[in-house]
Amino acid sequence: MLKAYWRDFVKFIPLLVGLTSRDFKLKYRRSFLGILWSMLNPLLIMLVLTSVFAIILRQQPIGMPFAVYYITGATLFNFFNEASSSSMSSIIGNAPLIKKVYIPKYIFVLEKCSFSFINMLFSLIAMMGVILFYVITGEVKLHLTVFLIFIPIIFIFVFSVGVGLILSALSVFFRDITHIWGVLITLWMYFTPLIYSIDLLRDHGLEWVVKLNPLFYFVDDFRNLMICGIFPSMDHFLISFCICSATLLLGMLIFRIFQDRFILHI
Amino acid sequence: MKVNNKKKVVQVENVSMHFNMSSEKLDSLKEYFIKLLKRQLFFKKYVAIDNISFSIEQGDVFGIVGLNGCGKSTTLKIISGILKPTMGSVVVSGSVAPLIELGAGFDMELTARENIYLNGAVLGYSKKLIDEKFDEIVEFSEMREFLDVPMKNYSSGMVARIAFAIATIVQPDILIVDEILSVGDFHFQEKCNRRIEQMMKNGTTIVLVSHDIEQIQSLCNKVMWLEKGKIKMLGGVKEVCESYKNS
Repeated sequence: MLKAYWRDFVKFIPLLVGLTSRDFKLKYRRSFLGILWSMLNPLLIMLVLTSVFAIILRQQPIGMPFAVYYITGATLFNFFNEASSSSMSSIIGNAPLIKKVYIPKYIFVLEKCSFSFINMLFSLIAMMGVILFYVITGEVKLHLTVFLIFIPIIFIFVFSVGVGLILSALSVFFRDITHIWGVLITLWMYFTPLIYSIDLLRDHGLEWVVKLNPLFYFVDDFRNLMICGIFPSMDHFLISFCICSATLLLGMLIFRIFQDRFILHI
Repeated sequence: MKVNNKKKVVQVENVSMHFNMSSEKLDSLKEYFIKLLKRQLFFKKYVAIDNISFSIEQGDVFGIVGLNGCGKSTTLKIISGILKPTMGSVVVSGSVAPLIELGAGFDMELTARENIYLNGAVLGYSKKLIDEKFDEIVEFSEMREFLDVPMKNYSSGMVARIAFAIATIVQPDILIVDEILSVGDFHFQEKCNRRIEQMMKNGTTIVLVSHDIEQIQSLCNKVMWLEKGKIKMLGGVKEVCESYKNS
């Protein structure tokens, strides 16, 4: 049984690669800067937000330049945003294909997540640029823990695949989800410490709200590894691990239950 | 009568396929709950295929005939694994190449060259295999000069040529053909027919749906006649076609 699944998956790896490269080609076709936009975009948004927050809001002490604080969190969050949103419509969007050829349908979700992942890799380059800038000015120090950032990245990837599977399956039956998700993700963004520090909430006794948010753990660990040279605590690591596995399993379960009925609704 | 010692490659047992024919499609959560509360959430059941059983042996050219809406295409989709039957079981042994709608996996924004690789992947071929067969595909489709043109600029016949060339590049165990041979000019149609005949010679099992009774008669050795989702007749090509024509 498992072996058959595995063989199916291996057989369609070229398709996964093919679809991802299609998305890539189409995204940057006819733009002069092409792939540079994957790096420019997060940089420009960071510049906007940094200037806005430097002027309008009094900054909370966060222990590092705001630009660094923001771009580290935003890189991860944007990946989650892009991966979940594009996975959500991946089944509906590939309706013509699903109706005519047999393809394991989770491939489409996986493809969207991989595509977002590649985009994130470019954003990471931009992020490194910003951090290096502050390293040169002496405001940030680099630590060896940088090499461990793949841990929270893997966590958030698995988490996104799980969420993507759930959303894509449900959105086939209830298109409302595609409309409400944009709102939810905005809400989710404000519950993730991207532009404020968790200390700010602690002062108000609202820390627990953020701690309910799975993304908090990934973002926090990522930042700690990247900038502060702090290893994730064991309970953070375990919480992250449990959240990811549970989400992925739930996603696979929901997707499996519904996948045979997709074709009747798309 | 032939002796039944050949391997059965497709076995369909007591298969039924039901569709919900809800007069309005419930796409939104709000509607769903309103209907649920009002207890209006019942669906009209449409039985596309009603408890059919048949088997296809290796090397058969199996024709399916019947009027529009009798379940021919649904049957093909069930055999190729696109649709899961509501009831019953389907066992297929061997690789299946469905020619159900040519060019289903094409992205019209991409060029033909890119699409050949993408569509090959859709059909489950490795990149290495397509690299090897690339020239053969291009030769067969006779589209070399348009290879780097986005496919949105192609005519439907040109799309079909590329699609047929990719889909038949590997000799499948079972080839499923749904009235696709009506596309393209007569020269290309002949070319397609020759390739299919070549495959038949090499032992590929073929399942063919067509309204062209002449074509069925000339190609098939076994024919199934479907009517309203049920098997009206199943047997040798001569008897079934005669009664189908006389009906």
